[in-house]
Amino acid sequence: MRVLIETKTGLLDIATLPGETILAAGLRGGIALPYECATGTCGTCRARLLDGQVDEGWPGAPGRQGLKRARREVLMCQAVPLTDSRIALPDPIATWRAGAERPQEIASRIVELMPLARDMLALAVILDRPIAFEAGQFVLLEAPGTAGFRAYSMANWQSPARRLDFIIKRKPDGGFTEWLFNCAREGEPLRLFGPLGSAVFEPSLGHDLLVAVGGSGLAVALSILARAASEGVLGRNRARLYFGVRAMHDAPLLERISEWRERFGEAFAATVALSDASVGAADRDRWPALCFADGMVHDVVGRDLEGGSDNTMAFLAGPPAMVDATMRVVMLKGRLPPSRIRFDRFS
Amino acid sequence: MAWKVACPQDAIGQNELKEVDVDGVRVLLVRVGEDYFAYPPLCPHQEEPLRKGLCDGELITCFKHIWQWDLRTGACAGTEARTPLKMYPVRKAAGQVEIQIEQPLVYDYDDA
Repeated sequence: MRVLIETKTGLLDIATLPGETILAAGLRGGIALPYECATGTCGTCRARLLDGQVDEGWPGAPGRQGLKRARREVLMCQAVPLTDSRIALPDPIATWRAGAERPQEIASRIVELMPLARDMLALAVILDRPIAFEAGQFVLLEAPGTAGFRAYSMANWQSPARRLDFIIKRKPDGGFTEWLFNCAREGEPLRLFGPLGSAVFEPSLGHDLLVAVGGSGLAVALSILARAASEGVLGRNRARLYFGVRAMHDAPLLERISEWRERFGEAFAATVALSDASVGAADRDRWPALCFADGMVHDVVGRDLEGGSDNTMAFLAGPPAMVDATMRVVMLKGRLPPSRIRFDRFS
Repeated sequence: MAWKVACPQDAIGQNELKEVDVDGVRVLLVRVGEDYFAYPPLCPHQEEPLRKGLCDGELITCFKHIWQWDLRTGACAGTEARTPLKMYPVRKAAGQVEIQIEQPLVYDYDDA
């Protein structure tokens, strides 16, 4: 279908494929439509439907709560045009970020499914053709027979990449994660659309890195650190990782984090923040290269940031409450301006 | 012009973002030192409640997309915000914070 988009910066013209959302079609065409989660939660991609009919997608999308029905507001990440349509956006359209790959739908199949921790899986897929993505980006995944895409950040980095790694946290009532935990087998296909997201790590900026993540937000940290390690950033710049979990049995992949510490020495430090249960003596002995602290991850970050922080770029990823609390701390105690905070709320 | 009592002056902490009801109108109050400021309660970008954001004594920040404003003038600060905050006139009287409200201030969300 043809969709005309009225913006402050002019009229845009896009074409959707059958079943494709307005957001996906726009981004695929290199138009920087506003979005954040791309899966119906955040409400950032709201637009006004001026003319035409759309299927509004997921009825329970949390991002719909703020929509004004009388103004025919829709979420572009959910809206699939049923007729030629016309929409209006209040925000001016940004220019496409230099160097950013245009997202596309790519066939993929599962090559690895491995338990990582309590209610957490490592998933890896192989793509039909390689893509270039940036550390911090995500893709949308859809399982066979389940309706609706879910967003997952890549946990690896290479460019271009044919293999993408993910960390999947089991969600109560989550159709996609229930399928992955109970039914999925290696070799099965997954629908995939990406790469997406602008909270990306740019090595050329030359910042020290403060990476604070909670739960499966660890994926973002692993991707950023993989890129930092492979491009020689660690050494020129320092990186500090804060990984928030409830207890040690929620903390996977400590081997890999520990190896970075051994490889990069003082240029890399990692702290596991435990909110519910302190680390035991056996785990302390097992991981001598890691620091452990009791408390929520934002409190632990705050203690280290007393006195401010120069030349630091903060990356925050994980549950929304964790991201917001840590944002507060890095702004107040670290005195970081918004231009040096990048965030990805997993919701 | 009607001045209406919003709340006692000592009911707001330093740098607190406090949402109050003033005669049926939701208002965001901020206290910095002994100065008080009043705004509509929602972000002019996407209607996020500003009380969930941050006040550092100079700026108000909405966490949704890190829009920032000068809390004394409502002017856009930082790199993201494109719409200034509207503000209600405020005065102190008999230990109370009073706000002048004729009509609720609202944003045109088609013009964010």
